Amino acid sequence: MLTDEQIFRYSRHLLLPEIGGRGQEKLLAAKVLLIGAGGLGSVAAQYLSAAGVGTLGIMDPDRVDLSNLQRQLIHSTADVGLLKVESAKNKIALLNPGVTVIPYQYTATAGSISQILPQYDLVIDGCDNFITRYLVSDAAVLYNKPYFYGSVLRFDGHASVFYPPRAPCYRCVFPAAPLPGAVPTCQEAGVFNVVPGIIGLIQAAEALKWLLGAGEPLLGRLLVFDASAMEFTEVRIGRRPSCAVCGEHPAITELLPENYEQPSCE
Amino acid sequence: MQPKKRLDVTADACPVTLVRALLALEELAGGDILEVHLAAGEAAKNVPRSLACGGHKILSLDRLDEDTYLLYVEKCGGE
Repeated sequence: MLTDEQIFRYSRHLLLPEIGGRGQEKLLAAKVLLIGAGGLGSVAAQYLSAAGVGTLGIMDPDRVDLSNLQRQLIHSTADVGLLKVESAKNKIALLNPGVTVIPYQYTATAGSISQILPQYDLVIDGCDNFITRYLVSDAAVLYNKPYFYGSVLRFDGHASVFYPPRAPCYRCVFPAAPLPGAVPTCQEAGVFNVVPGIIGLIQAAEALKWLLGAGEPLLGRLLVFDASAMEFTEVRIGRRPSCAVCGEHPAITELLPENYEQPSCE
Repeated sequence: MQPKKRLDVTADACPVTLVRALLALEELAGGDILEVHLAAGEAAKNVPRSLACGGHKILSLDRLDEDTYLLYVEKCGGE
């Protein structure tokens, strides 16, 4: 049963036939894992919290840096130097004290993800490097969790929901990481600050829809956003039978730490 | 006209009046009847209209006294 406080707080969602009391109960019982409390994670964390998602796990090893604040709006100037997971947790407590935040102040590794991911309903990827992305994506396939993908660079962004066998996984579409240095990072190439906001919000929307069972999920479709032209393009994507993790003869059947080693420096 | 459930939202303001009515209807089966006590004024005007927009059937809306209306609404999805 919803409390009076919850009926007030969530009234604009309770009025929607797609949500109502039953949908709100689903959100309150939901557990979402967020990889990264950066540009994408900032937005996703705030909207999921405001919507009343009951438990949010947030994984990020970094501390808030002044250069983050241009786009990572969950953090404030006074938070510079704090762990991002702590800063995010503090902000969420102000926004919605009903949300339980579980901070993981370290990098995702094969070991940590295998321990943590099975406890959650779904995972939202807001990471900033390919090693973590492949690790999280492979883990999502192996533990059968829907994976809410988003990535951004300069004026461009991607979003999709990966969930084999209903839809391809990330590796079906991008079989292997580019060679180190082949793709610049946001640190090197820059990022237009609204792009992670828009993509992170699409990830949050898809995650909420998924938890509610509402609408049509972004499965089998890669949404490509170009803020420069202000255009969304939808690319149909299919499963790859030769996929190394979800294909017919997968080479990846467990998370081996040596396959996901972080480079020692950037 | 036997209501399955009674609800008093005379102390609430809009849209919480409507939200409480919708939450109560969620617990009922299609065709079941909900009795709602509404404050005269905005609530008595808006709640029945919004419930009708949502597909529910307004069976009756009567003034009980100066401050209160009595609404009978049938949950959509019955028969």
